[in-house]
Amino acid sequence: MFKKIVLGLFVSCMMLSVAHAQQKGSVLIKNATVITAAGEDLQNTDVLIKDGIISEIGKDLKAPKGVETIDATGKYVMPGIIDAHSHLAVTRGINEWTNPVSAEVSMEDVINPNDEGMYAALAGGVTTIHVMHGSANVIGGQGETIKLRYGMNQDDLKFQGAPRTIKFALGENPTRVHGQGFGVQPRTRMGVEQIVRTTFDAAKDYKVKREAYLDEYAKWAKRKKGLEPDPVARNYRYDVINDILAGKVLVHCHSYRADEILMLMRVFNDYGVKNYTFQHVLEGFKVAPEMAKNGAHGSTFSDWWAYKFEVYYASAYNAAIMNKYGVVTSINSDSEELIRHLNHEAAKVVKYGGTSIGDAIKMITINPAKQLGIDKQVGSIEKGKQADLAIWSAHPFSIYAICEQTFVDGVSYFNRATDPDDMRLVINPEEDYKLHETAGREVDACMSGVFEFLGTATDSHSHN
Amino acid sequence: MSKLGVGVAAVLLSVSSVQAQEIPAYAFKNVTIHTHDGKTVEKASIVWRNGSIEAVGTNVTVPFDAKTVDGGDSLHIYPGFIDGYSEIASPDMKRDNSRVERPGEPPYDKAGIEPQRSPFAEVDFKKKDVSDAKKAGFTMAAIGLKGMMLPGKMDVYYLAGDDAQANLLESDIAQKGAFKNSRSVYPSTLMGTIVKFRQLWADASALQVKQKNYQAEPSKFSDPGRDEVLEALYPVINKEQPLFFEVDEKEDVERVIKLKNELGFNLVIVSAKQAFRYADLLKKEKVPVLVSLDLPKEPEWKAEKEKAKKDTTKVEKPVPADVQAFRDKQWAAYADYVKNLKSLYDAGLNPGFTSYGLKWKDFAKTIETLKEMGLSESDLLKSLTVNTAAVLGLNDKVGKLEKGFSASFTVTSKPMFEKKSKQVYQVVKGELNDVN
Repeated sequence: MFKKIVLGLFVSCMMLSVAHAQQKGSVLIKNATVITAAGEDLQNTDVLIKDGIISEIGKDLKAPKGVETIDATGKYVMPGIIDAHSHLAVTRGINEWTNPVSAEVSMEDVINPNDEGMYAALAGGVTTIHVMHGSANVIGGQGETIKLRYGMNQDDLKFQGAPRTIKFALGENPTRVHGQGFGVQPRTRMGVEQIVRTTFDAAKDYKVKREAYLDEYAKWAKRKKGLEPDPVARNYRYDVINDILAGKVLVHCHSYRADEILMLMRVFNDYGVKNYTFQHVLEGFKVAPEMAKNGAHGSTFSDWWAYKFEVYYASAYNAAIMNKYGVVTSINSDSEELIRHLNHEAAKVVKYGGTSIGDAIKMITINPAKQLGIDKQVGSIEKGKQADLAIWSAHPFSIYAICEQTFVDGVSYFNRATDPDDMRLVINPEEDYKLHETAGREVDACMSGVFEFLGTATDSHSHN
Repeated sequence: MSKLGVGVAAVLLSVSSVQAQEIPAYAFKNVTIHTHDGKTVEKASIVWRNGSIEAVGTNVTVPFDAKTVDGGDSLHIYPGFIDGYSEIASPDMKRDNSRVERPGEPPYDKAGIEPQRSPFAEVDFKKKDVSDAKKAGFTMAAIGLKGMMLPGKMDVYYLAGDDAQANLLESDIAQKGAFKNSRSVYPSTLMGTIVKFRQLWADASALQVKQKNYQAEPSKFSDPGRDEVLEALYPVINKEQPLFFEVDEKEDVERVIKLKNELGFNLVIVSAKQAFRYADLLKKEKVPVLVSLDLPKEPEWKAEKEKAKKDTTKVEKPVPADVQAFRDKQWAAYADYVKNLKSLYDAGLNPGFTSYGLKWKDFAKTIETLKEMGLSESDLLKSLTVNTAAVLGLNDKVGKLEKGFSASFTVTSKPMFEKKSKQVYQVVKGELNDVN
């Protein structure tokens, strides 16, 4: 434990020096029930935040001079919710669907800091989201983990120090887009596997050639005598694939069926890829022991299925069963609407599957943090961690609970008491007044941009 | 090729006819000169010969041989305006919706990657937008072709006659670029387009080295072959010419500046309708900017409100508080856009002008709006002349009414931006055209 805290502090200090442009806050929250996601809840407890870091947790803490105190008597403080599957805050396309492999593209390049959806998510107690590529391609684009510092620019939203990630997708989406749409591989689930294998092999082949060239070049550059060697051009796609193989990029794989989940684990074992997460993973409950054995994580919905053929076999016990078998399990939104009440989505896991409240809390806090490789920094309320947390009027699993205030790095980005009506950051002068209505979950989340072009009828349930 | 041949012949003809006699001088006297920085010189004269200004001011002796027009103190002369980034005379994009076999590996042109295209072969100076620009006081434009992410090269042309060869001032001054992509092939998204720029740079850089090696030692190196598309990017990669990049949003400007710093090229920001949000960034990065004057529409309620004020018979309906709050923000945003050019001057920058996005019929009205919202005439004129000339690297040749500069200017019946002002003459590269 001590070691963990020291490491946490060290990481935080590094963060501070890197992220100097980002604002850090200090505040003392008094007398709350603190849901730590790292052990028992703490009654009548104070949390002191200094410069964006949780500096003390205990009783009768005193606020340093100039630091605001919030009386949270009768209220709950919980870690900021982390959504491991989101498509919020993206500009002009989440699916580079034109090729079955598009590892070179990255959400990092297209973060839209003006998406009001982030503010709505803050109002649901969410502080960090994993912005992902869509599921049209077998190997999609790289993701970006961002903190909801609403109002900052695209660079300052980035979660400093978060590992790189990438989206993979199995099953119906890539076979439909590429196989049915264009008559190119993959047409079948077998083809999906082969795309992964041949891409990995081609990337390894490229790496040998590229490194041989770089060695030659380095030798030449020392003396600069004669002509430089003929270059092997950098290949942005294969560079990313090689980083996956080197363990520098965490794979988050869109998947539903047990057979394809097993398939990818076999492929990854062949190539030595570790520490990956299956997204959606509706049949995870069938292969939970195998997932646990391989160290594969699962990020799923609480009770959402039957929107296409491959997702008819599903269960509201999925998260509970994966969790029971030791799979690091999270509940995600994949939706700008669901993200506003992930607390209730996690509560359903308790209701259906009998999972403990403590474990269900972890499914929207420390577990997604583990899946994103940011659990040393966030995901629980512990001394030395980054102060991303929310104050709730009641236990967040109560249907009556209201998120009152949300902090990122100790800075309040949502405060229900002073919540303005209009949170647009950039105003389009040609947009006339209308009531901004959003009702329910948007369809087509993961396949956004694809069907419009393919001319396929977008049935209203064909999102993920 | 035949067009080029005709062009060359025309030039030879004109040169020989000029040499056969003394090159005549031209002059306007008793006119009001409006300088590039908004000063006025009354009772002035301007003399030019062989396309260049010989003398200008109040102390000028008009040569005896000069063909002279007496302005009678009622004519006004403005330096010819320069459009720093224009698609006038450019043919419309061809719609090509045919499917390709592998949308992930399309041919370059399908993906909008055509840096080898030259406007010279395709421009048509008979197009209406050319005469519209001339009517608005423009005598010169840097022209590129319509397209997507890399639509081709840019040339600078005088807006004289119909002959591209005769109009050409400088060819191949820059590459054109934008975050514009096809919907049907790779790259089909913004993120794909961004990484495609990176990959093109890597591919072109490697090919350039290979070609050099092969040329130097063909026995030792293998022939890398030719690729006209990648080769067209060499001048930008080698920083011999800039990339003129169309962007408006702050976030897109941040994206292209990140690319610039990562790949290392000289960047000119074009259009920049939201520059009020990032003037400081442009200043910090020392990126020149050509601003579009394509303004947003004024909110409809504004005009209705003005009308209602005048109509005393009707009682104004009260506006609900939430609608009023919305309108206040909308108006503030509208004002930001209209003051965009001014905000760049306020930040200490020297913005040039692009007609990109502008409808020529709105030009006069737009200028009026800009001035109403606080832009000074001197700043306006600088953007239309010297600032743009500087971005194009032509500031020692064009944009000023001074000795040695190109004799390209517009003569009007009243100060140009006053109502009922009419163009009377236009002089382009020394050639006098009576507009009436």
